[in-house]
Amino acid sequence: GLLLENILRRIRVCTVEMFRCLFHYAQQHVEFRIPELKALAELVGCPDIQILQEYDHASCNLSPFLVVDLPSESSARDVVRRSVLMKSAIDLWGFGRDFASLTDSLVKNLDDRKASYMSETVKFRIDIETFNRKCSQEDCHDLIEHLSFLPFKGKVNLQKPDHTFCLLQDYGSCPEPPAKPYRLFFGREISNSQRHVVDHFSVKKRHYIGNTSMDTTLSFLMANQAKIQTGDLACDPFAGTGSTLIACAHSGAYITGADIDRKIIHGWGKSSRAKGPKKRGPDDNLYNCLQQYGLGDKYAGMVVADAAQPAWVRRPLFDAIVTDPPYGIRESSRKIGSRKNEPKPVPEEQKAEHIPAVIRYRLSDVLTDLLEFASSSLRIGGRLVYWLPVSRANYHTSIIPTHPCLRLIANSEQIINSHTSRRLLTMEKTGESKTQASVSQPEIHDTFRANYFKEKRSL
Amino acid sequence: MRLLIHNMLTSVVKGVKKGYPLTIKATKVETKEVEFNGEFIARMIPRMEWAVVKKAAESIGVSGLPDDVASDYESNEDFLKLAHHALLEVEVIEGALQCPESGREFPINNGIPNMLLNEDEV
Repeated sequence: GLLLENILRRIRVCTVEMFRCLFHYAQQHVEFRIPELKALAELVGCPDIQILQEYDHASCNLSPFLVVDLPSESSARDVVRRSVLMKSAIDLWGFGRDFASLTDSLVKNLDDRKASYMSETVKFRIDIETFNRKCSQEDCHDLIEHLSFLPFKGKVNLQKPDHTFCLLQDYGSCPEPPAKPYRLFFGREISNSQRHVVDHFSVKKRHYIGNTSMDTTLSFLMANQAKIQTGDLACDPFAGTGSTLIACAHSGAYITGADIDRKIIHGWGKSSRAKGPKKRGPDDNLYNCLQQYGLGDKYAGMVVADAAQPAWVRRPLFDAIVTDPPYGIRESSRKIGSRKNEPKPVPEEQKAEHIPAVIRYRLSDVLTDLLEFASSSLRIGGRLVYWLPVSRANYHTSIIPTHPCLRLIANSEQIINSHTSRRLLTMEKTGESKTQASVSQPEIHDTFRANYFKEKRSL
Repeated sequence: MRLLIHNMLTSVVKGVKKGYPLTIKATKVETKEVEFNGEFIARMIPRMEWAVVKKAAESIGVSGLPDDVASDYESNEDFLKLAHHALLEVEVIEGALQCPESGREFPINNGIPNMLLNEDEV
Protein backbone atom coordinates (compact mmCIF):
# COMPACT_ATOMS: atom_id res chain seq x y z
CA GLY A 1 0.00 0.00 0.00
CA LEU A 2 2.74 2.43 0.99
CA LEU A 3 4.73 1.58 -2.14
CA LEU A 4 1.73 2.18 -4.39
CA GLU A 5 1.09 5.47 -2.63
CA ASN A 6 4.67 6.54 -3.24
CA ILE A 7 4.44 5.66 -6.91
CA LEU A 8 1.15 7.50 -7.25
CA ARG A 9 2.61 10.53 -5.53
CA ARG A 10 5.56 10.50 -7.91
CA ILE A 11 3.27 10.28 -10.92
CA ARG A 12 1.22 13.16 -9.59
CA VAL A 13 4.33 15.29 -9.12
CA CYS A 14 5.29 14.57 -12.71
CA THR A 15 1.89 15.33 -14.18
CA VAL A 16 1.29 18.64 -12.39
CA GLU A 17 2.60 21.04 -14.96
CA MET A 18 4.03 24.18 -13.50
CA PHE A 19 4.53 27.49 -15.19
CA ARG A 20 8.18 28.55 -15.04
CA CYS A 21 8.31 32.27 -14.54
CA LEU A 22 11.09 34.78 -14.14
CA PHE A 23 10.28 37.76 -11.95
CA HIS A 24 12.34 40.80 -12.81
CA TYR A 25 12.77 42.98 -9.71
CA ALA A 26 13.60 46.63 -9.22
CA GLN A 27 16.73 47.11 -7.12
CA GLN A 28 14.94 48.50 -4.11
CA HIS A 29 13.81 47.00 -0.78
CA VAL A 30 15.54 43.72 -1.62
CA GLU A 31 14.82 42.10 1.75
CA PHE A 32 11.07 42.43 1.24
CA ARG A 33 10.97 40.43 -1.99
CA ILE A 34 10.33 36.92 -0.73
CA PRO A 35 7.77 37.97 1.91
CA GLU A 36 5.88 39.97 -0.73
CA LEU A 37 6.02 37.08 -3.21
CA LYS A 38 4.69 34.63 -0.62
CA ALA A 39 1.90 36.97 0.46
CA LEU A 40 0.85 37.63 -3.14
CA ALA A 41 0.97 33.93 -4.06
CA GLU A 42 -1.41 33.22 -1.17
CA LEU A 43 -3.55 36.20 -2.10
CA VAL A 44 -4.09 34.96 -5.66
CA GLY A 45 -4.84 31.45 -4.39
CA CYS A 46 -1.65 29.56 -5.29
CA PRO A 47 0.38 29.22 -2.09
CA ASP A 48 2.35 26.27 -3.53
CA ILE A 49 4.98 28.12 -5.48
CA GLN A 50 8.55 26.98 -5.77
CA ILE A 51 11.52 29.32 -5.82
CA LEU A 52 14.21 27.66 -7.91
CA GLN A 53 17.65 28.02 -6.41
CA GLU A 54 19.53 26.37 -9.28
CA TYR A 55 19.06 29.52 -11.34
CA ASP A 56 21.04 31.49 -8.79
CA HIS A 57 24.69 32.30 -8.74
CA ALA A 58 26.81 32.69 -5.62
CA SER A 59 27.85 36.20 -6.56
CA CYS A 60 24.32 37.28 -7.42
CA ASN A 61 22.76 37.75 -4.00
CA LEU A 62 21.46 41.11 -5.16
CA SER A 63 20.34 39.81 -8.51
CA PRO A 64 17.13 41.34 -9.83
CA PHE A 65 16.05 37.97 -11.29
CA LEU A 66 14.11 35.28 -9.46
CA VAL A 67 12.89 32.09 -11.13
CA VAL A 68 9.72 30.64 -9.69
CA ASP A 69 7.40 27.77 -10.60
CA LEU A 70 3.73 28.68 -10.30
CA PRO A 71 0.61 26.68 -11.13
CA SER A 72 -0.25 28.72 -14.24
CA GLU A 73 0.50 31.76 -16.35
CA SER A 74 -2.60 33.48 -15.00
CA SER A 75 -1.41 33.04 -11.40
CA ALA A 76 1.98 34.54 -12.35
CA ARG A 77 0.18 37.45 -14.00
CA ASP A 78 -2.03 38.00 -10.94
CA VAL A 79 1.05 38.04 -8.69
CA VAL A 80 3.05 40.50 -10.77
CA ARG A 81 0.13 42.87 -11.25
CA ARG A 82 -0.13 43.36 -7.50
CA SER A 83 3.59 43.60 -6.85
CA VAL A 84 5.31 46.90 -6.14
CA LEU A 85 8.82 45.43 -5.90
CA MET A 86 8.84 43.63 -9.26
CA LYS A 87 9.08 45.29 -12.63
CA SER A 88 7.70 42.50 -14.79
CA ALA A 89 7.13 38.77 -15.14
CA ILE A 90 8.50 36.68 -17.97
CA ASP A 91 7.45 33.29 -19.28
CA LEU A 92 10.90 31.66 -19.08
CA TRP A 93 11.83 29.81 -22.27
CA GLY A 94 15.52 29.28 -21.79
CA PHE A 95 18.39 29.66 -19.37
CA GLY A 96 22.16 29.28 -19.65
CA ARG A 97 25.48 30.09 -18.04
CA ASP A 98 26.68 31.24 -21.47
CA PHE A 99 25.15 31.89 -24.85
CA ALA A 100 25.75 28.33 -26.10
CA SER A 101 23.96 26.73 -23.15
CA LEU A 102 21.12 29.26 -23.45
CA THR A 103 20.76 28.23 -27.12
CA ASP A 104 20.71 24.54 -26.17
CA SER A 105 18.10 25.13 -23.51
CA LEU A 106 15.91 27.16 -25.90
CA VAL A 107 16.10 24.54 -28.63
CA LYS A 108 15.46 21.67 -26.23
CA ASN A 109 12.42 23.31 -24.62
CA LEU A 110 10.74 24.52 -27.78
CA ASP A 111 7.22 23.12 -28.00
CA ASP A 112 3.87 23.79 -29.70
CA ARG A 113 2.78 26.27 -27.07
CA LYS A 114 5.88 28.37 -27.60
CA ALA A 115 5.72 27.98 -31.37
CA SER A 116 2.24 29.53 -31.32
CA TYR A 117 3.82 32.79 -30.11
CA MET A 118 6.13 32.77 -33.13
CA SER A 119 3.51 32.20 -35.83
CA GLU A 120 3.07 34.40 -38.90
CA THR A 121 0.25 36.46 -37.44
CA VAL A 122 2.13 37.50 -34.28
CA LYS A 123 3.85 40.90 -34.31
CA PHE A 124 6.78 40.91 -31.92
CA ARG A 125 9.81 42.71 -30.60
CA ILE A 126 12.88 41.55 -28.71
CA ASP A 127 14.35 43.62 -25.88
CA ILE A 128 17.79 43.16 -24.42
CA GLU A 129 18.35 44.00 -20.79
CA THR A 130 21.76 43.91 -19.24
CA PHE A 131 22.22 44.03 -15.51
CA ASN A 132 25.39 45.59 -14.02
CA ARG A 133 26.95 46.49 -17.37
CA LYS A 134 26.13 48.54 -20.43
CA CYS A 135 25.40 46.78 -23.68
CA SER A 136 26.40 48.83 -26.73
CA GLN A 137 23.95 49.11 -29.60
CA GLU A 138 26.32 47.04 -31.71
CA ASP A 139 26.50 44.24 -29.10
CA CYS A 140 22.72 44.25 -28.75
CA HIS A 141 22.37 43.97 -32.51
CA ASP A 142 24.77 41.02 -32.56
CA LEU A 143 22.87 39.28 -29.80
CA ILE A 144 19.60 39.60 -31.70
CA GLU A 145 21.33 38.20 -34.78
CA HIS A 146 22.47 35.24 -32.66
CA LEU A 147 18.86 34.60 -31.70
CA SER A 148 17.82 34.20 -35.32
CA PHE A 149 17.80 30.40 -34.90
CA LEU A 150 14.47 30.87 -33.16
CA PRO A 151 11.69 30.20 -35.67
CA PHE A 152 9.98 33.60 -35.57
CA LYS A 153 7.67 33.81 -38.57
CA GLY A 154 5.81 37.03 -37.78
CA LYS A 155 6.79 40.66 -38.36
CA VAL A 156 8.84 42.81 -36.02
CA ASN A 157 6.81 45.69 -34.62
CA LEU A 158 8.57 47.89 -32.09
CA GLN A 159 5.61 50.21 -31.42
CA LYS A 160 2.71 47.83 -30.99
CA PRO A 161 3.92 44.27 -30.67
CA ASP A 162 1.49 41.49 -29.75
CA HIS A 163 4.30 40.00 -27.67
CA THR A 164 7.57 41.28 -26.30
CA PHE A 165 10.46 38.88 -25.80
CA CYS A 166 13.44 39.57 -23.57
CA LEU A 167 17.00 38.49 -23.47
CA LEU A 168 18.33 39.19 -19.97
CA GLN A 169 22.03 39.23 -19.25
CA ASP A 170 23.15 39.12 -15.64
CA TYR A 171 26.66 40.35 -14.82
CA GLY A 172 26.20 39.80 -11.07
CA SER A 173 26.36 42.49 -8.44
CA CYS A 174 30.09 43.05 -7.93
CA PRO A 175 31.33 46.57 -8.62
CA GLU A 176 33.75 45.10 -11.20
CA PRO A 177 31.57 43.06 -13.55
CA PRO A 178 33.14 40.09 -15.36
CA ALA A 179 33.79 40.07 -19.13
CA LYS A 180 30.94 37.66 -19.79
CA PRO A 181 27.58 37.40 -18.05
CA TYR A 182 27.11 34.89 -15.25
CA ARG A 183 23.81 33.81 -16.71
CA LEU A 184 21.37 34.52 -19.50
CA PHE A 185 17.62 34.22 -19.69
CA PHE A 186 15.23 34.36 -22.59
CA GLY A 187 11.47 34.52 -22.43
CA ARG A 188 8.19 36.23 -23.24
CA GLU A 189 6.97 39.14 -21.14
CA ILE A 190 3.58 38.37 -19.61
CA SER A 191 2.81 41.44 -17.57
CA ASN A 192 4.16 44.47 -15.81
CA SER A 193 3.84 45.14 -12.10
CA GLN A 194 1.97 48.07 -10.57
CA ARG A 195 5.06 50.19 -9.94
CA HIS A 196 3.74 52.82 -12.36
CA VAL A 197 0.50 52.95 -10.36
CA VAL A 198 2.52 53.61 -7.24
CA ASP A 199 4.09 56.61 -8.92
CA HIS A 200 0.60 57.95 -9.59
CA PHE A 201 0.04 57.91 -5.79
CA SER A 202 3.35 59.65 -5.05
CA VAL A 203 3.31 61.70 -1.86
CA LYS A 204 4.82 64.55 -3.87
CA LYS A 205 1.68 64.81 -5.97
CA ARG A 206 -0.68 64.42 -3.04
CA HIS A 207 -2.48 67.41 -1.67
CA TYR A 208 -3.12 66.15 1.86
CA ILE A 209 0.10 65.05 3.55
CA GLY A 210 1.75 65.28 6.96
CA ASN A 211 5.30 65.31 8.27
CA THR A 212 5.39 61.53 8.46
CA SER A 213 3.46 60.51 5.36
CA MET A 214 4.84 57.12 4.40
CA ASP A 215 6.83 56.38 1.29
CA THR A 216 4.35 55.25 -1.35
CA THR A 217 6.07 52.00 -2.34
CA LEU A 218 6.24 50.91 1.29
CA SER A 219 2.57 51.71 1.90
CA PHE A 220 1.60 49.54 -1.05
CA LEU A 221 3.99 46.85 0.13
CA MET A 222 2.20 46.89 3.49
CA ALA A 223 -1.15 46.40 1.75
CA ASN A 224 0.35 43.42 -0.09
CA GLN A 225 1.75 41.94 3.12
CA ALA A 226 -1.72 42.33 4.62
CA LYS A 227 -3.17 40.42 1.64
CA ILE A 228 -5.70 43.18 1.08
CA GLN A 229 -8.37 42.20 -1.42
CA THR A 230 -11.60 43.55 -2.81
CA GLY A 231 -14.27 43.94 -0.17
CA ASP A 232 -11.96 43.89 2.86
CA LEU A 233 -12.25 46.34 5.70
CA ALA A 234 -8.85 47.72 6.75
CA CYS A 235 -8.05 49.86 9.79
CA ASP A 236 -5.11 52.06 10.78
CA PRO A 237 -5.29 53.06 14.47
CA PHE A 238 -2.38 55.54 13.98
CA ALA A 239 -3.63 56.83 10.65
CA GLY A 240 -2.04 60.28 10.45
CA THR A 241 -2.74 61.49 6.92
CA GLY A 242 -3.66 57.95 5.89
CA SER A 243 -0.87 56.86 3.51
CA THR A 244 -1.36 53.21 4.46
CA LEU A 245 -5.13 53.51 4.09
CA ILE A 246 -4.83 55.01 0.60
CA ALA A 247 -2.76 51.99 -0.43
CA CYS A 248 -5.33 49.64 1.13
CA ALA A 249 -8.20 51.43 -0.65
CA HIS A 250 -6.41 51.18 -3.98
CA SER A 251 -5.96 47.45 -3.34
CA GLY A 252 -9.71 47.06 -2.89
CA ALA A 253 -10.39 47.58 0.82
CA TYR A 254 -12.87 49.86 2.51
CA ILE A 255 -10.96 51.86 5.06
CA THR A 256 -11.32 53.27 8.54
CA GLY A 257 -8.94 54.45 11.20
CA ALA A 258 -8.13 56.87 13.94
CA ASP A 259 -5.57 59.32 15.17
CA ILE A 260 -5.19 61.10 18.50
CA ASP A 261 -4.44 64.35 16.64
CA ARG A 262 -7.70 66.12 15.78
CA LYS A 263 -5.90 68.58 13.57
CA ILE A 264 -4.51 65.92 11.28
CA ILE A 265 -7.81 64.03 10.93
CA HIS A 266 -9.77 67.21 10.19
CA GLY A 267 -7.03 68.87 8.17
CA TRP A 268 -6.74 71.88 10.46
CA GLY A 269 -3.62 73.89 11.21
CA LYS A 270 -0.31 74.23 9.46
CA SER A 271 0.41 72.59 6.14
CA SER A 272 3.37 70.21 5.81
CA ARG A 273 4.10 71.51 2.33
CA ALA A 274 7.24 73.57 1.85
CA LYS A 275 5.50 75.52 -0.92
CA GLY A 276 1.91 76.61 -1.35
CA PRO A 277 -0.59 77.62 1.31
CA LYS A 278 0.78 77.70 4.86
CA LYS A 279 -2.48 76.49 6.38
CA ARG A 280 -4.44 73.40 5.57
CA GLY A 281 -7.71 74.08 3.80
CA PRO A 282 -11.19 72.60 4.26
CA ASP A 283 -10.44 69.90 1.66
CA ASP A 284 -7.33 68.62 3.44
CA ASN A 285 -8.70 65.37 4.73
CA LEU A 286 -8.54 61.71 3.87
CA TYR A 287 -11.96 61.62 2.22
CA ASN A 288 -11.01 64.30 -0.28
CA CYS A 289 -7.65 62.69 -0.84
CA LEU A 290 -9.37 59.40 -1.71
CA GLN A 291 -11.77 61.31 -3.97
CA GLN A 292 -8.75 62.73 -5.78
CA TYR A 293 -7.85 59.14 -6.71
CA GLY A 294 -11.39 58.05 -7.51
CA LEU A 295 -11.53 55.98 -4.31
CA GLY A 296 -14.02 58.07 -2.36
CA ASP A 297 -16.51 55.19 -2.15
CA LYS A 298 -13.94 53.19 -0.15
CA TYR A 299 -14.08 55.66 2.76
CA ALA A 300 -15.95 54.10 5.68
CA GLY A 301 -14.99 56.85 8.11
CA MET A 302 -12.31 58.23 10.38
CA VAL A 303 -12.39 58.76 14.13
CA VAL A 304 -10.41 60.93 16.52
CA ALA A 305 -9.30 58.46 19.20
CA ASP A 306 -6.41 57.45 21.41
CA ALA A 307 -4.89 54.06 20.57
CA ALA A 308 -4.23 53.58 24.30
CA GLN A 309 -8.03 53.63 24.86
CA PRO A 310 -9.36 52.12 21.63
CA ALA A 311 -12.88 53.28 20.89
CA TRP A 312 -13.58 50.16 18.84
CA VAL A 313 -15.84 47.52 20.37
CA ARG A 314 -13.92 44.33 21.13
CA ARG A 315 -15.11 41.88 18.50
CA PRO A 316 -13.76 40.79 15.09
CA LEU A 317 -14.31 43.79 12.79
CA PHE A 318 -11.38 44.05 10.40
CA ASP A 319 -9.67 41.97 7.74
CA ALA A 320 -6.45 43.88 8.21
CA ILE A 321 -4.75 46.35 10.52
CA VAL A 322 -2.01 48.18 8.65
CA THR A 323 -0.11 50.83 10.54
CA ASP A 324 3.05 52.75 11.26
CA PRO A 325 2.86 53.42 15.01
CA PRO A 326 4.47 56.60 16.34
CA TYR A 327 7.85 55.98 17.84
CA GLY A 328 8.83 59.45 18.64
CA ILE A 329 11.45 60.44 16.09
CA ARG A 330 9.56 62.77 13.80
CA GLU A 331 6.26 62.83 15.68
CA SER A 332 6.15 62.51 19.44
CA SER A 333 4.14 59.61 20.80
CA ARG A 334 1.49 60.74 23.22
CA LYS A 335 -1.56 59.32 24.90
CA ILE A 336 -4.26 60.92 27.01
CA GLY A 337 -3.30 61.12 30.65
CA SER A 338 -2.03 63.31 33.44
CA ARG A 339 1.07 63.27 35.57
CA LYS A 340 -1.11 64.12 38.56
CA ASN A 341 -2.34 61.24 40.71
CA GLU A 342 -5.95 62.41 40.75
CA PRO A 343 -6.56 64.70 37.80
CA LYS A 344 -9.46 67.07 38.37
CA PRO A 345 -12.59 66.62 36.31
CA VAL A 346 -13.03 69.23 33.60
CA PRO A 347 -15.68 71.81 34.61
CA GLU A 348 -18.90 71.46 32.67
CA GLU A 349 -18.69 74.88 31.00
CA GLN A 350 -15.18 74.13 29.67
CA LYS A 351 -15.91 70.63 28.37
CA ALA A 352 -16.71 71.63 24.81
CA GLU A 353 -13.42 73.48 24.35
CA HIS A 354 -11.21 71.31 26.54
CA ILE A 355 -8.17 69.70 24.97
CA PRO A 356 -7.16 66.73 27.11
CA ALA A 357 -3.70 66.59 28.67
CA VAL A 358 -1.28 64.10 27.20
CA ILE A 359 1.61 62.12 28.62
CA ARG A 360 4.39 60.11 27.04
CA TYR A 361 3.24 56.88 25.38
CA ARG A 362 6.07 54.41 25.88
CA LEU A 363 6.92 52.31 22.84
CA SER A 364 6.51 49.05 24.79
CA ASP A 365 2.96 50.19 25.67
CA VAL A 366 2.25 51.23 22.07
CA LEU A 367 3.21 47.70 21.02
CA THR A 368 1.24 45.94 23.77
CA ASP A 369 -1.86 47.99 22.97
CA LEU A 370 -1.49 47.41 19.23
CA LEU A 371 -1.22 43.63 19.59
CA GLU A 372 -4.15 43.57 22.04
CA PHE A 373 -6.19 45.61 19.57
CA ALA A 374 -5.26 43.31 16.68
CA SER A 375 -6.01 40.16 18.66
CA SER A 376 -9.54 41.32 19.49
CA SER A 377 -10.43 43.28 16.34
CA LEU A 378 -9.14 41.10 13.51
CA ARG A 379 -11.13 38.27 12.02
CA ILE A 380 -9.42 34.90 12.16
CA GLY A 381 -6.96 34.79 9.25
CA GLY A 382 -6.79 38.60 9.22
CA ARG A 383 -3.41 40.28 9.26
CA LEU A 384 -1.58 42.89 11.31
CA VAL A 385 1.20 44.65 9.39
CA TYR A 386 3.28 47.24 11.23
CA TRP A 387 6.72 48.81 11.59
CA LEU A 388 8.94 48.25 14.59
CA PRO A 389 11.90 50.62 15.03
CA VAL A 390 15.05 49.08 16.50
CA SER A 391 18.58 50.01 17.42
CA ARG A 392 20.51 47.58 15.27
CA ALA A 393 22.98 46.79 18.05
CA ASN A 394 20.14 45.82 20.40
CA TYR A 395 18.15 43.80 17.91
CA HIS A 396 17.44 40.16 18.47
CA THR A 397 14.38 38.15 17.38
CA SER A 398 13.48 37.78 21.06
CA ILE A 399 12.44 41.45 21.24
CA ILE A 400 9.67 40.97 18.66
CA PRO A 401 6.41 41.40 20.60
CA THR A 402 4.30 38.26 20.73
CA HIS A 403 0.68 37.35 21.29
CA PRO A 404 -0.70 33.81 21.65
CA CYS A 405 -3.21 34.26 18.85
CA LEU A 406 -0.98 36.16 16.42
CA ARG A 407 1.48 34.17 14.35
CA LEU A 408 4.54 35.91 12.94
CA ILE A 409 4.54 35.52 9.14
CA ALA A 410 7.33 37.83 8.02
CA ASN A 411 9.97 40.12 9.51
CA SER A 412 12.07 42.21 7.13
CA GLU A 413 14.54 44.94 7.88
CA GLN A 414 14.76 48.36 6.30
CA ILE A 415 18.04 49.98 7.28
CA ILE A 416 17.71 53.68 8.16
CA ASN A 417 21.31 54.39 9.13
CA SER A 418 24.27 52.54 10.63
CA HIS A 419 22.59 52.44 14.07
CA THR A 420 18.93 52.26 13.30
CA SER A 421 16.55 50.21 11.25
CA ARG A 422 12.89 49.45 11.22
CA ARG A 423 11.38 46.06 10.71
CA LEU A 424 8.18 45.39 8.84
CA LEU A 425 6.30 42.75 10.81
CA THR A 426 3.44 40.72 9.40
CA MET A 427 1.29 38.71 11.80
CA GLU A 428 -1.79 36.60 11.20
CA LYS A 429 -4.58 35.95 13.66
CA THR A 430 -4.92 32.22 14.24
CA GLY A 431 -7.61 32.05 16.92
CA GLU A 432 -9.34 33.81 19.79
CA SER A 433 -7.47 34.19 23.06
CA LYS A 434 -7.92 36.10 26.28
CA THR A 435 -4.21 35.96 27.08
CA GLN A 436 -2.40 39.27 26.94
CA ALA A 437 0.24 40.39 24.51
CA SER A 438 3.73 40.19 25.83
CA VAL A 439 6.59 42.49 25.11
CA SER A 440 9.80 40.99 26.39
CA GLN A 441 12.63 43.33 27.35
CA PRO A 442 10.41 46.44 27.23
CA GLU A 443 13.39 48.64 28.17
CA ILE A 444 14.94 47.96 24.75
CA HIS A 445 11.89 49.48 23.08
CA ASP A 446 11.47 52.25 25.63
CA THR A 447 15.04 53.47 25.28
CA PHE A 448 14.90 53.40 21.49
CA ARG A 449 14.25 57.12 21.13
CA ALA A 450 16.93 58.19 23.62
CA ASN A 451 19.46 55.87 21.95
CA TYR A 452 18.49 57.12 18.53
CA PHE A 453 19.29 60.72 19.38
CA LYS A 454 22.41 59.79 21.36
CA GLU A 455 23.79 57.79 18.43
CA LYS A 456 22.80 60.47 15.97
CA ARG A 457 24.82 63.05 17.89
CA SER A 458 27.85 60.78 17.88
CA LEU A 459 27.67 60.22 14.11
CA MET B 1 -19.98 59.18 10.76
CA ARG B 2 -21.71 56.36 8.94
CA LEU B 3 -23.65 53.67 10.74
CA LEU B 4 -21.08 51.03 9.80
CA ILE B 5 -18.63 52.86 12.04
CA HIS B 6 -21.24 53.69 14.69
CA ASN B 7 -21.81 49.96 15.09
CA MET B 8 -18.14 49.50 15.93
CA LEU B 9 -17.60 52.33 18.41
CA THR B 10 -17.94 52.11 22.16
CA SER B 11 -17.41 54.38 25.14
CA VAL B 12 -14.42 53.52 27.30
CA VAL B 13 -14.86 56.16 30.03
CA LYS B 14 -13.21 54.91 33.25
CA GLY B 15 -15.60 52.83 35.33
CA VAL B 16 -18.16 52.28 32.56
CA LYS B 17 -19.07 48.60 32.20
CA LYS B 18 -21.15 48.70 29.06
CA GLY B 19 -20.55 51.73 26.88
CA TYR B 20 -22.34 50.16 23.91
CA PRO B 21 -24.25 51.04 21.83
CA LEU B 22 -23.75 54.78 21.75
CA THR B 23 -26.88 56.90 21.39
CA ILE B 24 -26.82 59.17 18.35
CA LYS B 25 -27.85 62.79 18.87
CA ALA B 26 -27.73 64.19 15.38
CA THR B 27 -28.18 67.83 14.42
CA LYS B 28 -27.18 67.44 10.78
CA VAL B 29 -27.51 64.30 8.66
CA GLU B 30 -26.60 63.99 4.99
CA THR B 31 -27.16 61.27 2.42
CA LYS B 32 -24.84 60.69 -0.48
CA GLU B 33 -24.69 57.98 -3.05
CA VAL B 34 -22.01 55.32 -2.59
CA GLU B 35 -21.43 52.58 -5.15
CA PHE B 36 -23.15 49.36 -4.08
CA ASN B 37 -20.86 46.42 -3.34
CA GLY B 38 -23.04 43.49 -2.22
CA GLU B 39 -20.09 41.28 -1.44
CA PHE B 40 -18.65 43.80 1.01
CA ILE B 41 -21.99 44.34 2.76
CA ALA B 42 -22.52 40.58 3.00
CA ARG B 43 -19.12 40.24 4.65
CA MET B 44 -19.90 43.03 7.11
CA ILE B 45 -23.31 41.73 8.23
CA PRO B 46 -21.92 39.04 10.60
CA ARG B 47 -19.65 41.68 12.14
CA MET B 48 -22.56 44.02 12.92
CA GLU B 49 -25.11 44.04 15.72
CA TRP B 50 -28.18 44.30 13.55
CA ALA B 51 -30.54 45.48 16.29
CA VAL B 52 -28.12 48.38 16.86
CA VAL B 53 -28.06 49.20 13.14
CA LYS B 54 -31.84 49.28 12.98
CA LYS B 55 -32.30 51.40 16.09
CA ALA B 56 -29.54 53.83 15.09
CA ALA B 57 -31.01 54.15 11.59
CA GLU B 58 -34.45 54.94 12.98
CA SER B 59 -32.96 57.55 15.31
CA ILE B 60 -31.67 59.48 12.29
CA GLY B 61 -34.77 59.06 10.17
CA VAL B 62 -33.89 55.98 8.10
CA SER B 63 -36.81 53.58 8.23
CA GLY B 64 -37.70 50.36 6.47
CA LEU B 65 -34.98 48.07 7.82
CA PRO B 66 -36.23 44.59 8.77
CA ASP B 67 -36.07 43.55 12.45
CA ASP B 68 -33.70 40.71 11.70
CA VAL B 69 -30.98 39.93 9.22
CA ALA B 70 -32.49 38.00 6.30
CA SER B 71 -31.57 34.32 6.60
CA ASP B 72 -30.40 34.32 2.98
CA TYR B 73 -28.69 37.69 3.37
CA GLU B 74 -25.63 36.78 1.32
CA SER B 75 -27.71 36.41 -1.85
CA ASN B 76 -30.67 38.64 -0.94
CA GLU B 77 -29.95 41.76 -2.97
CA ASP B 78 -32.99 43.66 -1.67
CA PHE B 79 -31.80 43.19 1.88
CA LEU B 80 -28.17 44.00 1.02
CA LYS B 81 -29.23 47.22 -0.72
CA LEU B 82 -31.22 48.35 2.32
CA ALA B 83 -28.26 47.53 4.54
CA HIS B 84 -25.86 49.29 2.15
CA HIS B 85 -27.93 52.46 2.27
CA ALA B 86 -28.15 52.44 6.07
CA LEU B 87 -24.51 51.51 6.67
CA LEU B 88 -22.67 53.62 4.09
CA GLU B 89 -24.87 56.27 2.49
CA VAL B 90 -26.31 58.06 5.48
CA GLU B 91 -23.85 60.16 7.41
CA VAL B 92 -24.15 62.09 10.66
CA ILE B 93 -22.27 65.32 9.94
CA GLU B 94 -22.88 67.22 13.18
CA GLY B 95 -24.08 66.03 16.56
CA ALA B 96 -22.85 63.78 19.32
CA LEU B 97 -22.61 60.21 20.51
CA GLN B 98 -23.75 59.57 24.06
CA CYS B 99 -22.41 56.88 26.38
CA PRO B 100 -25.44 54.83 27.51
CA GLU B 101 -24.07 54.37 31.03
CA SER B 102 -22.28 57.58 32.02
CA GLY B 103 -24.11 60.04 29.76
CA ARG B 104 -20.76 61.41 28.53
CA GLU B 105 -21.14 62.96 25.10
CA PHE B 106 -18.62 62.60 22.30
CA PRO B 107 -18.99 65.36 19.72
CA ILE B 108 -19.28 64.71 15.98
CA ASN B 109 -17.89 67.53 13.81
CA ASN B 110 -17.71 67.52 10.06
CA GLY B 111 -18.65 63.82 10.06
CA ILE B 112 -15.86 62.77 12.41
CA PRO B 113 -16.60 61.61 15.97
CA ASN B 114 -14.14 62.68 18.64
CA MET B 115 -13.82 59.74 21.04
CA LEU B 116 -11.00 61.28 23.09
CA LEU B 117 -11.48 61.08 26.82
CA ASN B 118 -10.33 63.74 29.22
CA GLU B 119 -7.36 63.12 31.47
CA ASP B 120 -9.59 62.35 34.47
CA GLU B 121 -11.61 59.76 32.51
CA VAL B 122 -8.83 57.32 31.56
